[in-house]
Amino acid sequence: MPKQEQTTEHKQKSPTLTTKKFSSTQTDPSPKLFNSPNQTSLTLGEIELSETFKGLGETLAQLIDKLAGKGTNLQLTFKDLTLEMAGMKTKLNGTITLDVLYVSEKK
Amino acid sequence: MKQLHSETKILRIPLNLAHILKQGSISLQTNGVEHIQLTIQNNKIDYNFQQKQLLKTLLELEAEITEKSILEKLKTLRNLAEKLKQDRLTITISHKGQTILTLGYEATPTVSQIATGTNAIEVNNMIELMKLVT
Repeated sequence: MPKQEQTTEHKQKSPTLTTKKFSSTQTDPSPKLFNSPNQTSLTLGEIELSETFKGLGETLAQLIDKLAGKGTNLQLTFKDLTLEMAGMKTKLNGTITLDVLYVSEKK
Repeated sequence: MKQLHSETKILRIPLNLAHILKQGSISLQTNGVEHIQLTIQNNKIDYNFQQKQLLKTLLELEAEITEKSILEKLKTLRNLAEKLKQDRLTITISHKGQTILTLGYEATPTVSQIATGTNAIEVNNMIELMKLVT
């Protein structure tokens, strides 16, 4: 895997999200999506997806808390990752870097 | 940090990911050290842990799981494994490329079926599994 350039930032009060060389391409859009304009409520699958990503976000936040220390960064790398949601395929390539710094608050 | 999930929700994440992710790989690194690599291919996701600490951390996120014995931990995975099998999906847990646990469709358990009560969980390497979770 090619080495990604590291981003260093200092004295930040909250975690920052840096996206590098991140690209997504959507292919094969399902016609079903466009044939149901009257659909207003979320389907069970959409609710489950929403819960999945919410859960992932919360888990990632907890992992950051556990794994990351001062000046630590977390890097998620996607390589030819194909996702299929609601009949639509998405391909992800690239890296997401989270630079996490903890600064004690002054009273 | 406050516990945000119920046990069911945590275990639902890999199941839903197995439905969404179709192909490719994801890796998680901290400070250049790789902790986990997910490889997705043919309805199968391999969670390859490079460091033991991450799996322990994931288990610690759910206090109830941490308190249980290794067999009880495996039983906790039973619902997930059976749902995966129904959906013809497979999840494998590996450590540095060595498969330790297989859940779902491709699981072919032998003795471990007696302990887990399901044919959807295969313990490929009990010794490594114990090292990883204890």
